[in-house]
Amino acid sequence: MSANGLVKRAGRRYSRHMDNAVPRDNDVLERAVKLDRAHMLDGAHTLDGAYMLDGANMLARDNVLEKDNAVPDLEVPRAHHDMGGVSKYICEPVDIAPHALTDFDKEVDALRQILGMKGMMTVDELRRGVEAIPEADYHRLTYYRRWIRSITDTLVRKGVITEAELAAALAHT
Amino acid sequence: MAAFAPGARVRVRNDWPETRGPVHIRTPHYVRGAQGTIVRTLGAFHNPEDLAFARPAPPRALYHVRFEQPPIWHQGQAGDDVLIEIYEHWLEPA
Repeated sequence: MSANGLVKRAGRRYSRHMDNAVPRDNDVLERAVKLDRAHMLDGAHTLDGAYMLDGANMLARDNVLEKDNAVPDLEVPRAHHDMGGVSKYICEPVDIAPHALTDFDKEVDALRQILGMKGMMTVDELRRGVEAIPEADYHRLTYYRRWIRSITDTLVRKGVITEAELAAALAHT
Repeated sequence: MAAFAPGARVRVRNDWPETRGPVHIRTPHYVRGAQGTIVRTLGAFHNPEDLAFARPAPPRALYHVRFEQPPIWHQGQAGDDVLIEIYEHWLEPA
């Protein structure tokens, strides 16, 4: 999608979001809209040189955004998955509509439970593995795809399965 | 077993283990160094920071700690709280 299209989409999305939000004043709203557009343009490199930092450097990008931000972010070395209170996510509308689990989702969940019962993997290892997914993949993957990636990484690392076995199994799918 | 009683003032350690290598931490970045109040003890649980790496994980006391919200997020009104589960080894007397 073109940068222009991204801006239009961001504008529509933000309009929907703001229907349900109560800005404290127009200045806050204006800055929030600019912030949201900046996120949509991330990678498009057209709005401002400040947004040309790559996605792996989220901390630096947050600090740059702070100058133009209704809610200043802490200048701390947080991990990318440690997102609580970070302004860019506050500005994103949250989809709270119930959604059905797919067969894939259920299968991954069942697999994790079986691995836990067999003592092969704790839920804490699952979370550690999810947090270790590189930032770009982390944001792209769905909830249970993060899980299967963590499960796979963990089982290979612990020697429960080998890379060769994994490759062979995937070749049969 | 628990070192802190309800009502005790505590400070969250201003520590950043994630800068020193792979870790799994359940203490959010936005309360590191912040002061709060112990609300209740929740019991003792095997330390998830160790469980995440399949290491021996001794039990650690876990607390509900209340923080004033406005100083943390610059949002909300006086009296708004943030309530977080924090393990004892992340807390020190304030």
